[in-house]
Amino acid sequence: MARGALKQIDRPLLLVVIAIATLGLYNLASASQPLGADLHVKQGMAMFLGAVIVAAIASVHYRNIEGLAVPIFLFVVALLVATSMFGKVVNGSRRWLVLGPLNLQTSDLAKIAVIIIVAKTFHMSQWEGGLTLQEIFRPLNVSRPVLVIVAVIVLSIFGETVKPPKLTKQFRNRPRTVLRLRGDAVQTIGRVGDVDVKLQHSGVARNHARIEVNEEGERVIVDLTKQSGVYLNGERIAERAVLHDGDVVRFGTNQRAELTYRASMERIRPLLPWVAIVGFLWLMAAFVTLYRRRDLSFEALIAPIDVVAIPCALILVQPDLGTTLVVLLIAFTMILYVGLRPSSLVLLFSGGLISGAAAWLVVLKPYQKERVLTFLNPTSDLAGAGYHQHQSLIAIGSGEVMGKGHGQGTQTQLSFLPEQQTDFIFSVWAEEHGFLGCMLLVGLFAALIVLALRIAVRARDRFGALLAVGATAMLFWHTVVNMLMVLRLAPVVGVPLPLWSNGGSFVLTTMIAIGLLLSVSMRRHLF
Amino acid sequence: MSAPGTAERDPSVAIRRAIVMGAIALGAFSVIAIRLYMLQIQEGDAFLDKSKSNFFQTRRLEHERGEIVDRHGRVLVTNRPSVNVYVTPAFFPDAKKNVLRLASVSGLSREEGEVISVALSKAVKEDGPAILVAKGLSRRRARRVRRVAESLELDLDAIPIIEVPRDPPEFAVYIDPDHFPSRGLVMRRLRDAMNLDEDAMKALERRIRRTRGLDKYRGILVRRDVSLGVEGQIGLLVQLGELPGVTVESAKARHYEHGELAAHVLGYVNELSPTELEERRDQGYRLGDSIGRRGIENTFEEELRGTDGRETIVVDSKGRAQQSKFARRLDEEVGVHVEPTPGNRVVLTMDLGLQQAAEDAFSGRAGAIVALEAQTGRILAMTSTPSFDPNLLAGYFDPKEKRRLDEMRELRPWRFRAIQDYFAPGSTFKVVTALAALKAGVTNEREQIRCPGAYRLGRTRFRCWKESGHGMIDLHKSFARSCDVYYYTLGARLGLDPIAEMGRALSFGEMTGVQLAAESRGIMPDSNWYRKHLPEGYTLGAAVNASIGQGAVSVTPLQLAVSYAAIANGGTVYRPQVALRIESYDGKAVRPIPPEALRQLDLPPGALAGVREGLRQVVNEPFGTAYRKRLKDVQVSGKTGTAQVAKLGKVRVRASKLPWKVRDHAWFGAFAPSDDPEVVVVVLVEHGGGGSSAAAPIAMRVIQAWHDMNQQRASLPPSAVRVATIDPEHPWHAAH
Repeated sequence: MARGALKQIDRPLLLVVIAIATLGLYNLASASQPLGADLHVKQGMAMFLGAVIVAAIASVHYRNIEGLAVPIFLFVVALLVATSMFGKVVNGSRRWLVLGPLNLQTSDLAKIAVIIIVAKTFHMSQWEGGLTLQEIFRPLNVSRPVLVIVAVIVLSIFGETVKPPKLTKQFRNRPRTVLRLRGDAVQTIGRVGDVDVKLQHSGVARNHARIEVNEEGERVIVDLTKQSGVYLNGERIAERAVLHDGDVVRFGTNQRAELTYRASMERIRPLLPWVAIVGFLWLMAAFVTLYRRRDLSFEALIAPIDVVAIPCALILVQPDLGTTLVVLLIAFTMILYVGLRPSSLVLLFSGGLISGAAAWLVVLKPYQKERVLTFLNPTSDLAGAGYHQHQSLIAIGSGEVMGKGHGQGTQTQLSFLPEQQTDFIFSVWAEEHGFLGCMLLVGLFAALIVLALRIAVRARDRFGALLAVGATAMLFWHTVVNMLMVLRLAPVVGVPLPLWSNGGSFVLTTMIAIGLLLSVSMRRHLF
Repeated sequence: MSAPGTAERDPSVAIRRAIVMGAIALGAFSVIAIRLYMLQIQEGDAFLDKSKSNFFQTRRLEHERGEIVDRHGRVLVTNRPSVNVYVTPAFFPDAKKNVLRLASVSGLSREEGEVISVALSKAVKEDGPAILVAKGLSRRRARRVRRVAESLELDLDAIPIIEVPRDPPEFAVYIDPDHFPSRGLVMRRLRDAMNLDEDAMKALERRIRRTRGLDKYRGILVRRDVSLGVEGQIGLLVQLGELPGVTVESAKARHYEHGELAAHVLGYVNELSPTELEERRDQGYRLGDSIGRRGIENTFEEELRGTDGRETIVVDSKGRAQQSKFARRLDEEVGVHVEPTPGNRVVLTMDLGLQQAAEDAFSGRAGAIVALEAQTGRILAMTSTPSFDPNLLAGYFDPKEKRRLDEMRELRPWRFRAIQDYFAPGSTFKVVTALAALKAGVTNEREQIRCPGAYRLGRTRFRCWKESGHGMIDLHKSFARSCDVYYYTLGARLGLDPIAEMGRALSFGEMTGVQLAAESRGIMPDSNWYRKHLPEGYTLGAAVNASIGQGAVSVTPLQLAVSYAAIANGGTVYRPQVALRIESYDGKAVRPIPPEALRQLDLPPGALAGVREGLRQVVNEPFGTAYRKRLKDVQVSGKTGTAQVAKLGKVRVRASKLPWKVRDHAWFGAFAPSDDPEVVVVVLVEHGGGGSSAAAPIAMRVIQAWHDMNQQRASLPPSAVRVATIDPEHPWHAAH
């Protein structure tokens, strides 16, 4: 490495990163107190390792990375496939790949791989007036149907990790499952005897109601009583009624004999054969086209969008909505930097909006929406997420101007704040250091983003610029989505805060991105 | 411009895009900053409160009810520690589970185990012998049974294992129902220790059976405020572990120091009913709170009731109390610890000594005594016989006491005769007629009226009590000899309405306004009253009847006392007063309740003096009706009264031969000393017979006691008399 390159290292960026990381460790020390574990020590060690990685990556000329882009991409895709097959199930999703002593969240690496491969895919291309959708998507490309078929196969094997629908009961203001509804079995609810759910409240009949499945696969509640009746959301039902997610079912007039029905996405499979047939016919058509052109290169097989779509699909099925979203946002930001033809941009937005809105408003029934949401985000069922964000807002708001002081946050230290060492780490800071502390942190992150963008602008070539934009986008979207989520301006999607949230995998990922930024900045030549 | 890579040669495009992106990024951060501003600065206080209510759990610290003391500070009502006994169904021993386990270890089937379990519950109930579980066991198996028994924490007494001398030795396992822990055994021990009767046991069993789910973990009250003996016995058994599922909790109980003494004045407390609780929830009442019923306890509920304290404890998200350093400091900094404020002390105008003397002095089955200060209307003593013991109403109602009160139902012990019941006043009412006549000027002190033994009004003959007649009678003698004809004459001259007007002025027919609930008005009829209530309407006969306190005229003993006080003090009618002052629990603040003069009698000069002279002669002249009951030490003025209950027949019958219910009411209204009256005493003996024989001696005994007390107090050094000190800094005084 040339001495000149080292001289050109972006000192302000480095300082900002060190400041953020130091504050992060300081804050994590407070957050880990009630957990009885010194998370900040482990995190510090991970950061130290990360610093070595930063140095290593920065010392490599990023041009060399370009050559490695395809192998890295293929390797990460392989890891993602392995994860969805052998990954450890935590909270109903497979995100972690256990490699001996190492627990790897493979979707973190996918972010880096996507940055590199998108940079490689797009840096050589230059289209007059910007990219078009046609060029990005290449609808007839052979990879389209392949992707569909792969998705079908993956879904049919692993797709049903979702939980069955269930009945829950409020105990001390928290829902507790009292019955999981399985298959097509008829299940009964009553006060005593041989019933599946015993509700020992006055006013509940011995054999009060039963739940069965109708022809359309919906759950139906049947009233078995003569007088006391079954009430659905406060209204008495006439013998039977279809259950939808979130319905409150009361057995008799006793307020305490209430259960809540929670639906889930259990009926994906019946659709799969049809999707597979369409995909197969599509694949045949694509092969015929390719055969005529006699062109079977990587670029021909993989359309530009595939480098994003393939990892995204693999992450989505884990399922991990938050990371999928972040990867898409990173890629989209990079493509925007490359330049998208205005008409295409309009088309993309309006098309996406219209089809999304149509699907949401017209096609999907309410319980289906719930099912989609439950499927995409199983770790935090909606009631739970609401509780988390509520506690987060209390923590943040109660910090007021000056905060309660380091290690003095009641929400943090008495464990009211959920996930305080990971997703809600910012709330800890906000509670203990108040508005002033928050402004300092938000300012530092803003400075980080601006400095990182400056590196992209000053980059010597387009590949470097795109790498820098990708790394910046990753830092930016993680920061913003996390903060919006913590501030209840976005749903809880499980996106960590860079350099702050506890988790070795993500620390390393962040460090790699910073390494890429430094590598680009060190080899710039001013124009 | 179309070749790839030209962007590098056109940096302005890249810079422009980067600037747009940077602007968007800064915009996003601004949104975050604004949101933080809103949450932390605009709504920060609200969130701070929410975070506090998250980690603070508030516990209620119960206050103590205020004391009630007599005018000299002697305690009448206070609080004492008490003990309540509860059972928690979930913590009863599970005999069946243990039996089944032992049975299976002894090599029996489940069915056989269940048979033994049933036999055990029967044996516990019927005090049956030990039950054989299994016999012919080997030594090894017997050891195993013992080991399992130990692991189940069963005493060796509970499952005797007996060795049968055979070769090889055999063992038999028994269950001793008197030691094997079971619900039945616990209930039996509880019954024996607490002397619960059959009904109480049944009710308790029913309540235990009815509990479901989490309710099984909630204590069921077996008995509130158990006696010291029971407490000791239960406490010991609980400590020894003989009563699993039974808990003993301490509480406070209202204590009426002198039992039945002045029970009607003091009242009693008991628990709020659910509907009352609903009405009073915003006044701070909670489930299980007591509220004053009747008497002072009721009138001064708001004073006697203190305010509950609050105590916060720091909890974590799972509701567990925190003891960490952080939690302790938090508690010190922002925790709330408000000590409960005991209720105020109510100081009565009553004098414990005189009250005691009055209760002792009363003889007769039923009646009332009222003693009050002539110059202020303050009540010194007030009794109502028969009485009840309020101690027994606050806590557990002893069945024996209930039976005793039920037996007395005829005598209505709950009635507060001094204010709640009204009776014909008889001759004690003559003061009213005399004053009305003097005021109207239909007679004067000197006029003499002849009494031939009866008075004729049209065809009706009104008899004097003395058939032979009194001869010539003036005002003074009319009192001393209690001549009826004299008053018949005045009544006929006056008509009813002037008498009624004077009666009302002297507090008859209206509530006196004493600080006690359930007061009666009595009846002070006038001509309109008769027109309204009787078919024949008003006739002069009604006035003649009323003139001697018969007919419809009915008064409460308290009303009579108030009117005699007015006569004694020179014509001021006072509102009778029971509470002298309110003091804060520590006595630092005092709120006196001054006497309240309701009105001044409008009388011609000398009228009162004349009546007073008449009343003096009743006791102090040899011809007076109460002359023989006079006191040596103090000159008493008064008037006897014998009120007819049933219409007299032609033939006079000795009172002792009449059934109790129709005997005359005996009255005596008195004040002393005659020349400067200080105390007024009114005695009513229900169906007691003659006023001079039944009521006057009681009144004399009370006055004698009052006199003795005064003498005694006068000889005491001044420091022995408690004087209320007023702290001018106290908020009460600042507010007034």
